Amino acid sequence: MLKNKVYIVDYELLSPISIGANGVIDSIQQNFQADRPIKKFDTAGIPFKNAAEIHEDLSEFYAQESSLIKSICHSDRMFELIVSCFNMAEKRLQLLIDKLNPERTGVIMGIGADVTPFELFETEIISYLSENNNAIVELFTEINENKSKLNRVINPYDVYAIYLASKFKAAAFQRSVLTACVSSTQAIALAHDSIASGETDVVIAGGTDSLVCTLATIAFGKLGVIPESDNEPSCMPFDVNRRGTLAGECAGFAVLASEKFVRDNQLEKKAQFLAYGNSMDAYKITAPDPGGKSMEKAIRKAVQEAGISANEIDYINAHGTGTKHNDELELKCIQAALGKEASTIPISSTKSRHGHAIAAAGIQELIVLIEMMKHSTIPGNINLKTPCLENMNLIQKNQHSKINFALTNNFAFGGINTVLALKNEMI
Amino acid sequence: MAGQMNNYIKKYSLQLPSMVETKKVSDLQNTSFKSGKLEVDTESVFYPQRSDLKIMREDIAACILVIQEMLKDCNYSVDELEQMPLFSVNGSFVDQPEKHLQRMPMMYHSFTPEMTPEERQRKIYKMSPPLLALQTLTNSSMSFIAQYIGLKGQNATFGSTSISGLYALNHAQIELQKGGEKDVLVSASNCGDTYSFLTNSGVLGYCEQWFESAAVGNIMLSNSKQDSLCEITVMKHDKRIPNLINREVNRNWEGLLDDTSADLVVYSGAFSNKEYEDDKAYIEKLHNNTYTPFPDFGNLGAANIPVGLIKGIESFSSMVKTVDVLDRDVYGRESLIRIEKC
Repeated sequence: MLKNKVYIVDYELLSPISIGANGVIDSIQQNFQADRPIKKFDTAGIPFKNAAEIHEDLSEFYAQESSLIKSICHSDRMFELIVSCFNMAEKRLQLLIDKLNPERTGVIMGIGADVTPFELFETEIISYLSENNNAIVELFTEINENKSKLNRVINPYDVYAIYLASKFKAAAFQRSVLTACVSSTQAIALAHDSIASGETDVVIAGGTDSLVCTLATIAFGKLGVIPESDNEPSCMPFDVNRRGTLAGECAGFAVLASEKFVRDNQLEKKAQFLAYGNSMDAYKITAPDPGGKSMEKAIRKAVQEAGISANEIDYINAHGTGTKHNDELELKCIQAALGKEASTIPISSTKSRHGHAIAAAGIQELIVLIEMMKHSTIPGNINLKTPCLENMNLIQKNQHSKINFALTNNFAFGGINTVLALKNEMI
Repeated sequence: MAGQMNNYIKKYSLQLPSMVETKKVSDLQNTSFKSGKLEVDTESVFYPQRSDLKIMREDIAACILVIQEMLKDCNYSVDELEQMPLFSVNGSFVDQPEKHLQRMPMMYHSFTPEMTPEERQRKIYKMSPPLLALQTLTNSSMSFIAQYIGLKGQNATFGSTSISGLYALNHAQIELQKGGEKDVLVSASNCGDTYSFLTNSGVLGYCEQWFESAAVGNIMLSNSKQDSLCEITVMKHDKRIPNLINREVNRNWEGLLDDTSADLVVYSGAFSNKEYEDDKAYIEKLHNNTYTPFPDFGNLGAANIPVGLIKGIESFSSMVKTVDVLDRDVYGRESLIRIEKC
């Protein structure tokens, strides 16, 4: 048994719906949707026009970083997002950082696949093109002559965790989880395990990812995950006419700490991380198991290990991607796992508002959930007209309601299912 | 080490390259590196299905094969396999890089000056490979292993440098600490090749005689001593935060080795002959019985630590009962695992 209780004591979020976690509630209450035309690259000629993109210029957040860090931010969007996210919160976090014991503090980040920003380097790639040359390799070989451990393009995945560790002085470890859409969800779950087992006192867990570039948008579009743009909303979770998800981007992190650390340092608890369920379908890489047994198992395990009953759950933040494969199956698995109580629990997906941030989906939705707990607000399912499954409490309008216990679900390509159970400590 | 429970290695499987070649990667800058490729037995009954091979890296195909070989004589029930945790460790997620990395430039090559931006984008859209998102899925190794073996339990994929192997073992230990008698599978595969070379050489700086190979190493960890090969008695790493701005190789294995009583030291971390020579000189001052896979296979990336453990187990004899496995990742993070023969 793992003994220590684990609490979330701080967090920050850089999202298409809010620059900073403290703006999330206004965005939710105003029903803001970040489903808008892509600005980052020219979409003329490709059928995917919209994304949940952070349009703001982030360079002010990292203006004081070194010129090397700034140049990486220019070509590595995931790096730019996490650097900006940290810098937004740096002043506030300084008091906490001063209390940390470096050898008992770790970082675990959920990271997405790196996507080479070909559009940025188009001129250079073309200049290297000839019949005998391997243009990308020529270009990267020349670019990666830096005298530092940071490449201008394609770094080992650990670079994001190491960056955060350098800021938090987290020397215990710098781990990277690469499990696609559940990467940051698993990062948070594994952070819990590390603290609960006594390995560490504090873990900074989070993620960063972006689908908003030409190659990633086209790749996911061709898989049928992102719908072709028309006059309809891109993402309609749980609707019978749903066609796909909204490509997104995000970076965020949460500070998890042991009960003892919280007490000794008189920290304010935002939420208690109760438990999680983590399972694999062992089915096919291209689609979830239509039987949903493993998805159901992950939900059931999270609830059982949290020591709560289904009728105590006040809200489920669903994965709810808006894809044909996921939504109805997820609802059926919730029904199977939670029994007759499932029909009374308010369920919504917030992806229609902020998009699917893939590896960073878990941290984005965790922070949105905690903000909803703080403000006693349950977000409605925007764009839902006709539910794909009857007898489920798929709320359409925001509700003012206390959230004491909640679940947040994420499921990944390749059949990976991770569900987190949280308790509100701000009531 | 997380928790104080004893942990044992019960089974292992390994595949190392059957051939090593020198690969020219850059014509203009005259850059080349040595790389070992895995030879996958396509006649094996465990060889993956053709439909999966379209989106499966070669190191994953090899991994699935050797895991199935490892498990074929174990008597795990369907239930036991379904509950078995799996922690996967992977390096680069792009193999056949020339195929992927050349496609975009070829699109640009096909543009004509008369084309409008819309026409160019339409061409990029048409020429983009439809399975790219699946071919580069970061958890594909773990998901395919789960699919072929029937694993449905706790899981995570770690990446991407060699210390990820240690991190996966840390979490495997935490799983065992949760209680109940169980086994945990830690599976590592490294595909090496051009994309990995570009990623890692950018961190360390390009050096002549860069050498990195594909490899697979799988370990079954258990909290039961019965039928085990060895016990893990020490697992630690230097708690340093890498300096991202200054490139340096600081060896401190001496600081990790509390004593030099092990009968054998297996070490890894070098990516080039120069680094290897420096490592060799350093470690041979500390210990007189050492082994490293570098001369034959180079750096094995994400598979360094599991392969090091397996090589240690394979060295057990009447004279070798304790082995220290040392590794340094591309960011200079060093680790030590000590195993003792059961």
